Amino acid sequence: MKQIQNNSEDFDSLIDSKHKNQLGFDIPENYFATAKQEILTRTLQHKHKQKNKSKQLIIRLSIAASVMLIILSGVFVWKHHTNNTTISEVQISNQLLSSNFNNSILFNSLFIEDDKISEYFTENITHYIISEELNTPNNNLFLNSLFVNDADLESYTLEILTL
Amino acid sequence: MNEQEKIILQKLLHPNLKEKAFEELLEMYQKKLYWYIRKIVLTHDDANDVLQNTFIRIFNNIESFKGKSSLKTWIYTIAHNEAIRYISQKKIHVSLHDISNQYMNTLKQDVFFDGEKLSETFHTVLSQLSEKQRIIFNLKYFDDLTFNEMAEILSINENTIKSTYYNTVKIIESQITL
Repeated sequence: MKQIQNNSEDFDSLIDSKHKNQLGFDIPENYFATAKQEILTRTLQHKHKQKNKSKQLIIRLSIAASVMLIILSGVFVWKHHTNNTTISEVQISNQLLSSNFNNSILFNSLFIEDDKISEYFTENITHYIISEELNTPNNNLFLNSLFVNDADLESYTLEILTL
Repeated sequence: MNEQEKIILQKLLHPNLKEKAFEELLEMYQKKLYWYIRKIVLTHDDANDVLQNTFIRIFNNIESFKGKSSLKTWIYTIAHNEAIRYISQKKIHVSLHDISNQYMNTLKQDVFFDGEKLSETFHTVLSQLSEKQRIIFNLKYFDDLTFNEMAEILSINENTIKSTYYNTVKIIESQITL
């Protein structure tokens, strides 16, 4: 190792004199010592800069990821809510269509003029609702009550409750 | 790769020993690389800049060294590329026929150039060579690299390097006595 070092020192002094004498290249005094220190300082600074850059990148990515997560969660909740609403609306429409409600009433209503729609509604839809109510046994009690005199209403109610 | 290189490389790849090993590497190659770079960029200030950039690059990229070549030639390749990149940036506004003049002008502007008769004659001859001839001659004559090492650094066939070197020596000898 010492031999290598000696050879290296010999080569260094030879290389210096060769460049100085034949090419006229001078260097400032103590250049290599100061340059070594400068390089070491710059390398460490560069290393710290790189570390800071990496840290900043990680922080930025974390923030971006968090924002994306929040947005995605928001979109997911909103979508879920919208789907539920849509389902409930669809369910209501389906229930209406699948019920015994006469589709022709709805269909015919399309051809009724605006000023006559109220009359049409009273005639057809109210009748439909009343007939539906009449077909439901428990509701008969309520419907019958409409035809009981006010004076007899209390005894009618007691009669029903005892049943 | 010789034993000394293997030991220093192992240290350089070890996170806790890297900085210390880098200091050793700097000690080993600082002068050699400085002179090599100086002959390409010519002025001291430019050589100093390129030398610093070279070592920063070495420090940052040592993990990517695969050991396919020797550590020495890998380091010289980085220095060579840095120096060439540096002068290419500076040559942007110079026409090709002015290169020889530019060589001498750059040299004379440097306060750290001692323009004695011999050195000035030497540089005049060198300035008339092509960049390839000049680099090959410098690497052998001044930096004492083997033809094999030069082939690795410059990515040129070893025989081409040999013939270019001997032809260049003949050209120079015809004008000055080495």
